[in-house]
Amino acid sequence: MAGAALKRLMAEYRQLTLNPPEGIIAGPVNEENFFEWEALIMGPEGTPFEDGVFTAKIVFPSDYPLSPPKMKFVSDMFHPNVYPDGRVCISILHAPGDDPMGYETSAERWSPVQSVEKILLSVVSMLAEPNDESGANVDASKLWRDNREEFNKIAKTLVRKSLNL
Amino acid sequence: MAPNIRIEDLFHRSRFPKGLAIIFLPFYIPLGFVVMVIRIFFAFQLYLVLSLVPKSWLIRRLLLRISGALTGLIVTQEGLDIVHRTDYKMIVSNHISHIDSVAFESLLSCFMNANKNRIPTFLRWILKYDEVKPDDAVPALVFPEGASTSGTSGLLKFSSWPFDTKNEPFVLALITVSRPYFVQIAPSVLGGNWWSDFLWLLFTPYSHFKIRFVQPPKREDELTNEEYSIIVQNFMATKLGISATKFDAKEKIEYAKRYFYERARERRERAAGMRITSNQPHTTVTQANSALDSRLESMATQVKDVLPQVPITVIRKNIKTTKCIDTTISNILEGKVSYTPELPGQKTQEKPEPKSNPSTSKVAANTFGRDSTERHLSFQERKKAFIEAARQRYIAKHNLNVM
Repeated sequence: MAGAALKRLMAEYRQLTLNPPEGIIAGPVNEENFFEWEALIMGPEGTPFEDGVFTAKIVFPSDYPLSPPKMKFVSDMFHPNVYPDGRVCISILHAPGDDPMGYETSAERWSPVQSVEKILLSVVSMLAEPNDESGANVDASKLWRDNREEFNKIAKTLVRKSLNL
Repeated sequence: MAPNIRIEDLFHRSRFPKGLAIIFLPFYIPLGFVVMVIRIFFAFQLYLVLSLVPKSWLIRRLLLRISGALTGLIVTQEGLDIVHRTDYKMIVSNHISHIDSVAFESLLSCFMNANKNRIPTFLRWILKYDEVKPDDAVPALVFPEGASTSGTSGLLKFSSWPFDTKNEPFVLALITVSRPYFVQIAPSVLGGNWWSDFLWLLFTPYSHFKIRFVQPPKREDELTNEEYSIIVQNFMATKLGISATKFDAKEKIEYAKRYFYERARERRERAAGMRITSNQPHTTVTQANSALDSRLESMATQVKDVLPQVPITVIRKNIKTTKCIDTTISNILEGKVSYTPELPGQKTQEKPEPKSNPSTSKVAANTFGRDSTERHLSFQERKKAFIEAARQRYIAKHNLNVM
């Protein structure tokens, strides 16, 4: 099955290389291990994360695409749906039946029809619109709800940090 | 870390042995049932007695050990004196089956946190875990793997929560289970439940649980709980002579789900295949054809699993000529097979165009290199350009003077 996973990942890599979506770059960290990818995600315009470039690691299971990959921000991130250690908590990364929060419908879950591109697009829209129902980072959720100004300030510093400014 | 261990290698899927050992089993089965029935009555009475004896009494453990031995559970230990020397707060062990906690209880008094572990009520009652109060000096028994394995090939990834400094000092316990060669029944199987573990224990002539207690590796000061958990996992794996894997308990659940789903599907397909063949008992050619068809069909579904956007009819047609899953996948990916993707709506609508400047935030390559170093270089360059563009834009927007 690992052979099939490899081929599928290669196809997705090709697709993302030749026709990348807005504000996203992704590919294997090094080609010796095709199951570990790096992605650069640009904070979408009009959001607190505007213009920041955030790095994330994506690790694929050997039975990809049957099981979803795991994604973790390497850059510092302060966001309601990102755990303090960087793990991303969005429904597309969870297989149906495995529902840590108990509110996701299976339509938004992982299935082989999804792809790296769709995951990354979901992350971009997660950056734009945090889901404060699933509090992976409680502090961030609270600040996002109660003190948007402070949240935006923290996001700004993260953006600068991500750009080495 | 052995990367070549697959998740399916970690568990037994059947209680019964493979290979030569299965030859002896049929001879034992009648005797096994008799033994089991006798033991059920016997064990029932002993457990009743046990439930009357308070947890702290030494005689309880003696009774448990005797009754264990009579029901086929032989527990031996190495290094228990280590545990008696210090007041450990926690015993960290690998997990083989539901019988592990009983084996431990017959050696020393310990408890399991009911919130963090799913313990069958019956076991909790027999082992009197509920009797333990938080301030008692009773060590907690922890299985950081979070699920059982066969214990013969690899350890699951450890959870990091037990390895907090507040749980120190702790001691490691290494369990190995052996059963007589002529009745090689697996102690636990994928998807098995606790009472089946016990019934098979009663069926088997004896099960030898060997528990070795060892001191954990020293913790360096700056290690996080997670880093330390990996060190402990590797340490235990080396001591057990198996490998430490990156699979965790959740992945075991997923694997089990997939495994049982596949098996159910196979059974359905086989039933369907038999119906077809029974309808045409005389034409062997059609029989062979339908067998071939169902094989091709299952291959086609596997390709479809990997490439869901490709219509099944296209896959079927190609797999009929190639008769190979890998070749068909390559053919489709390399564009040798043309097709119109299914769910066309998704492909075009899925890109919400954020109102950013496309010339700077989109770094597409003109070619996808055939050679891996070429691709890698292109990837590195595009990353650099991407970050640089974002930087310039930010600087321009905020009128920064950084040079």
